Order: sequence, then C-alpha cells, then structure tokens
Amino acid sequence: MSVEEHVIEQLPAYALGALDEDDTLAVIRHLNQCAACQVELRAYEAVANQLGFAAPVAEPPPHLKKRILEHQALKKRMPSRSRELTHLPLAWGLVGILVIAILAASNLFLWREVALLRAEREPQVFQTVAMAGTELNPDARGVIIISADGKHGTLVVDDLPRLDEEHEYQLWLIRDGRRTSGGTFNVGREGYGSLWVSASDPLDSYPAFGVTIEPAGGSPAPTGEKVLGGEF
Amino acid sequence: MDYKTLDDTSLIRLIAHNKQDALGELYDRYGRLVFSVAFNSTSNQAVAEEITQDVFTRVWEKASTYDVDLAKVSTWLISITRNRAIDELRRLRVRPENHSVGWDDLSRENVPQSDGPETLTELIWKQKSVREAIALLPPDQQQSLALAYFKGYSHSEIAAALGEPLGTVKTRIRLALQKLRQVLEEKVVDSG
Repeated sequence: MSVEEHVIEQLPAYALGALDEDDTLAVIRHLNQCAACQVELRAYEAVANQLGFAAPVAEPPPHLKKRILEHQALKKRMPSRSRELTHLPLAWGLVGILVIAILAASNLFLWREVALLRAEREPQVFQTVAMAGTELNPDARGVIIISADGKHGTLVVDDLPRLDEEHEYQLWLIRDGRRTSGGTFNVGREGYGSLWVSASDPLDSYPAFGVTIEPAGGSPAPTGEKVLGGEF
Repeated sequence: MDYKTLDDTSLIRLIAHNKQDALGELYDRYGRLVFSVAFNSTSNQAVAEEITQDVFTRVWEKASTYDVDLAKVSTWLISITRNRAIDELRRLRVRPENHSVGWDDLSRENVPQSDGPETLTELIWKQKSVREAIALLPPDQQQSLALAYFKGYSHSEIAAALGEPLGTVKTRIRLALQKLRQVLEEKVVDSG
C-alpha cells in the first residue's frame, strides 16, 4: 500500500483492535511510513482508551481488596528476607554459595543433556523452536523450549535491545492466521531475557511464533515491529 | 499520611516506594471500574476477580515505570484491564452463548468510593461524558462497538456473531468511533 493510499477509514477499527489480520498488516505497513495517519490513529486510540469508563457497573466482592493487598504483602516481604541473609554467619553464606554453584552446574548439565538429546534424534524430552531476528535486529535470536506434553514452555532471547519503560516485547502464538498473546517481557542490559509461556492449547499446536514491540502491558493484537520469528 | 487527599500520580509514586496503603487507596478509587471492565469482558465473576487482582499486582510491580505524559492513571488501568481480559478470553477460547454484551447501563455511574475531591470529580465527569457520547449512537453501532471493545472481536467475528454482512459491521464500527471522537473532542474529554 502506498503512502498515497491512506488508511483513514480503517484507523477507528485498528484503534479498537477490531481489524482482521490482513487489514491489520496493511494498516501497519502504511502507518510505518505515514505521519499523517499516525496522528489520526492517536486521536482514535484516545477515544478507544476511554470506552472502559462506560462499562456497565459490576460490583467487586468485598473480600477482593483484602486479597489483593495480602498478595502484595507476600511479595513485599521477599526483599526484606534477602536483606536478613546479610546478617547470617559467614559459614551459612558459604553454604548458600555452594548450593547455588551446585544448582548452576546441574542446570548447565541439564541444558547440555537437552542439546545432546536433540542432536542424537532420540525421543524428545523437550521440543524447541528456534527464533531468528528480523531485519530490525538481524543478530537477535531466541528459542522456545516446550515441555513434552506441550503444556508449558520457556522463551529465551538474546541480543535484543533493552526497551524503554513504555514498551515491552510481546510473544505471539500463531495459528490459522490468529495471534494469541503468549505474554510480555523485557530484556536486561545484556539483551538477554526469558518468559514462561503457557496457553489453553498445547504450545506445539501452534505452528509459528513471533515477537513484536508493544506498549507496556501488551496489546490485544500485534501493533509494533516484529523482532523475532520462528516456526516448528 | 491521608492518602485520600493525594492525586492519582502521587499514589502511583508512593506505590513505587512499596507503600501498600497507597495501593489500597488506588483500589478504593478504581477497583470497581477495573472489575467492571473485566466482568463485562469475561462475564465470569471468578475470572474478573482474578484479572482485577492481576491488574493491581501489575500496578504494584510496574508503578516505577508509569509515565504520566503517556496516560492518565485511570486510562492506564483500563488499558491494562482490557488487554488482560481479552488475553484471557482468547486463552480460554471463551465465546458468549449470546451476544448480549452492551452498554445497557448508561444511566448509572461508576462512582468511585474515595472522597478525594479532584479524582472524584474528574472520574465522574469522564464517565458521564463517555456514557452520554455512546448513548448518542444507534443501538446497532453500540452493539458492534461493545463486542469489539469488551470481547476483542474482529470485524469478521462480529459479523459472524450477529449474522450481519461484513461491510455493514465495518461501517458501524467506523461510524461509531468517528461519532465518539467528534463528541468527546467537543466535550474536551481528557484523552490521556
């Protein structure tokens, strides 16, 4: 689609996430090169973002606030526990370091075992999907390691640029032209990151996977640049 | 500290510093709004509770990344909630048995429970403005809009659900958003 063929009429539905896949891709391609349509889109996104204010009223149960705050309280205690560790005797600290070293070594051993199993084409304990960088980041790479029953997986990526606080990477599980979110993540300064992945359907029922850059919190459908892609 | 007197942005800053009471106050202000969006998307009390908990957990974890220049706290919360709810619908492959989701409560207001005067006034004004704008739309546009917004339906899914031609649905969605944009811009509703 050329710049001359604006997508003004499709922008309202795009802002709502209601466009079908082909139309979405056409709009994204156009938006990438048309500042005027980007301005129009922001106006419709502002409208779409306010629709929730008109949601019919539903009363949350009285216990929900307590449940939420107690949930946070548990998370909050974790850092203070780690600070307490600094007051433990040195011997206990050394024991801790030893345990960590053993765990790290066993992890490394398990990873090598997985690689060997694949290389020897023995019955697979895990399935893996290699993901390659796009033109945006050709050096980026990733792998999705999926459990034997396909119920769980872990995405590991490397050499992706760290995103600012307003954006996150989002994994998409792709099947029959539909994209289901697999979760959002960011990477550390070294460009390395990981994400635990699960879905209602087995992960190995999705023939393809992609990673895009989305606003923090993720999007209902891909809106940003694709940075990684892979297929079974 | 009386958290009720603080604005939303100050609450978020305090949450970023692990002030749990600030999260409690934010819940008092927006818990019902978040739950309402989640419930209208999922039509399931337990799932809506789970999503509400997830949203406030995310606020707790991500408060330090919040940028007031990008979005008001209220629209940030709504956006997180809607994304999370639609993700859940797709994950569970939930589809309503009927397509009765809608804006059938436009006469009521999601009044927050806090007595923070500025927050209260602003939220009520926003809710009133958006409800009035949606009420101006024809019922068929309201219905298509609700399916797109709450259920995350695409054009073709709405057309299939309602048994309407695809072109008709596309026109309804486009006209609805164009009308809302016009009305809300005239009302000078904060688009943050």
